[in-house]
Amino acid sequence: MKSLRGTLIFGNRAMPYAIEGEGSTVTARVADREIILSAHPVTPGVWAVTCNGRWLEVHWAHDGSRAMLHADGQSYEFQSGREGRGAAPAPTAQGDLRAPMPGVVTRMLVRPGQVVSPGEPLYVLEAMKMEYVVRAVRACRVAGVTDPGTQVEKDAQVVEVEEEKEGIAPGVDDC
Amino acid sequence: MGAVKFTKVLIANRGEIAVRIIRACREMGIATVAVYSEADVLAPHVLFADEAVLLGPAEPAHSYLHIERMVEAARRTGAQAVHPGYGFLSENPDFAAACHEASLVFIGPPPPVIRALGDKSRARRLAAGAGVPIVPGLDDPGPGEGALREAVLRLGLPVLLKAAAGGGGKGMRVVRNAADLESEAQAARREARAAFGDDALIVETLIERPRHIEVQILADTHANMVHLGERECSVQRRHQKVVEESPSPLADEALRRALGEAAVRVARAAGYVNAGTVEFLVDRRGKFYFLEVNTRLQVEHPVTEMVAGIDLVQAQIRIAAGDALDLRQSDIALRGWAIECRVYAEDPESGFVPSPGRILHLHEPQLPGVRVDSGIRAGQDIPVHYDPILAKVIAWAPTRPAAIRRMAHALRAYVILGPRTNLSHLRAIVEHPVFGAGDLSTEFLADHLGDWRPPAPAPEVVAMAAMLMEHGRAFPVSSRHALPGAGASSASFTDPWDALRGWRLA
Repeated sequence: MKSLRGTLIFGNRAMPYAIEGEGSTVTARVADREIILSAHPVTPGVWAVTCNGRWLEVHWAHDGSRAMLHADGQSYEFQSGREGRGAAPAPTAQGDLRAPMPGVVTRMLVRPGQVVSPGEPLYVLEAMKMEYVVRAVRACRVAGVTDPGTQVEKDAQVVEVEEEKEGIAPGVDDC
Repeated sequence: MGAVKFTKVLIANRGEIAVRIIRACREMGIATVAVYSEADVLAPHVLFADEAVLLGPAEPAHSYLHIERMVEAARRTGAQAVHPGYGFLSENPDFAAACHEASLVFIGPPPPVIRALGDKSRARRLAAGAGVPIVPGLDDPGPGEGALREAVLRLGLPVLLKAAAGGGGKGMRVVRNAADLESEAQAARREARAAFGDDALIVETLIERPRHIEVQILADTHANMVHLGERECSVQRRHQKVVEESPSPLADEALRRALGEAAVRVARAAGYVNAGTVEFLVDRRGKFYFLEVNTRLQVEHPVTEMVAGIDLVQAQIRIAAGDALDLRQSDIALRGWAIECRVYAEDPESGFVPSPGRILHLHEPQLPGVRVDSGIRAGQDIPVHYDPILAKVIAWAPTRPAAIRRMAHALRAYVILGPRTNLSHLRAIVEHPVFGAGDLSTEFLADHLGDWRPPAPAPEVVAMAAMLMEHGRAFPVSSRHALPGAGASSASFTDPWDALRGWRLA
């Protein structure tokens, strides 16, 4: 019996799992627990799942490396941890250079070559009528910038800095 | 009320409110025209209306805020009236005036009333003149920071600086220390100028932990005016309302009557016509102060509809058509309790940042006493350009505890997969014992749910997610294979056993 191993990312937590199919059931090993599941399609995007003997209605969707499910009154979104280092490991990690959300870069407050100090605003990102000022968390030198007006995806590299270790973290401007 | 003379109405808005207005028109036998931007090509309000007109690009200035294009769309389709909804052009007196000039009926108050009440300093003076208490303060102490400092000294700290021209939290700053006055005033002026093109400020005594209570009014063109009781909207985040209810758990008959009469006095003084909302702050001792008048339909209007048994949008349309109100104040009785939760596309995992994107799976709650005012559908791409509100859940029950329980069940049963939403946060609010006790203030979320985090998944959930992830790997049904903007859920119907067989072969 071949067992599949992988890691799910929830928020900034990594959750390893091992899973194997055995006849009509699946056995998953998560956090030192063995969980026996079986799933039956009900309607598009809905499974009836027995989980350790308990029936649950599970709504689900997946999109690329994202898996989303709703069970027991609560929705969860996981990222696949198998996509390699290129994929977002933790969207809110400190030192992250990327856009904290999808949006439009409305103002670029730094230019290439500029040295910025911690707390200095780098750019303004706008989405859904809300403005976010992204600030530097450490001193760094700006290597590249994105033009204002550009629409960017979540985790887009809006400002590049020269040293890989340097970074910025999103900060909500409470205006 | 007689037959309404309109045969076709243009809805100058999008999202859930456009859908809700179209529904009211349909019930009245009125044809509807939707407008949309390039970002809303297959949005529900476009599909739901009888006709739809493309306004222009996604940016609001080129579409939903473009007065000439909006008026032209109404003229071209032969609509006789325009309903502005909330937000966008709804409180823009120039738009109301442009409608009148084009012989279109603007469903709202006359332009001079919108203009007068849109100026927060003027509205304050008007309320004070009508004998309604206002928050102690000074409107527009003058452009110099010296005048501002003098005003603050006279009022005493802490104070609230507010943009005279607008609302919505822009240009609003709390000053607790005299040393911060200058920098906070500069920031407030900068924000006010950017948001409203006017940097005039109002200085007010800060009311600590106030409750936000507002009164719905209806006024016709025949000098009839009634109020439909109060709504409490104290649960707010970043000055945005999150949960609203009617009646207010604070208000007894005496406070309700006093607020209602004060609201009617302000509205009469302004020469108000159509539906409007008079907002008040209530301090810890139960004393109330006039805040502002919103000259439009409010997002939270359904809670009033549920307890008063009146369709406010239909009432607005009838009033705009010149009908007389067939209600007297003595006819109005509030029945039961209604609560509304606003469902936003935002990510509670990362500080409630907006979370646009495609809705991959949608299942709305269907429960007795629960109304869902929604502007979304499965497969829709939620654009980044507009407000993050997706839908509103309204629960009615005979009592407040029963309404809360219904709401909690409805929130549990609401499934939106794709964008992140605040559904679990809403549940945490309505299930909180302090909310249950009705002990609310505008600091409720900061005081009681400041440390709240979305629940982490139990190992069982992780196991299911693992099964789903492996299923997805075996059968990649990503958005790449779906039509742009089209429903993805039908494509995602695959037998999980196929996936299991897939693993065994792997």
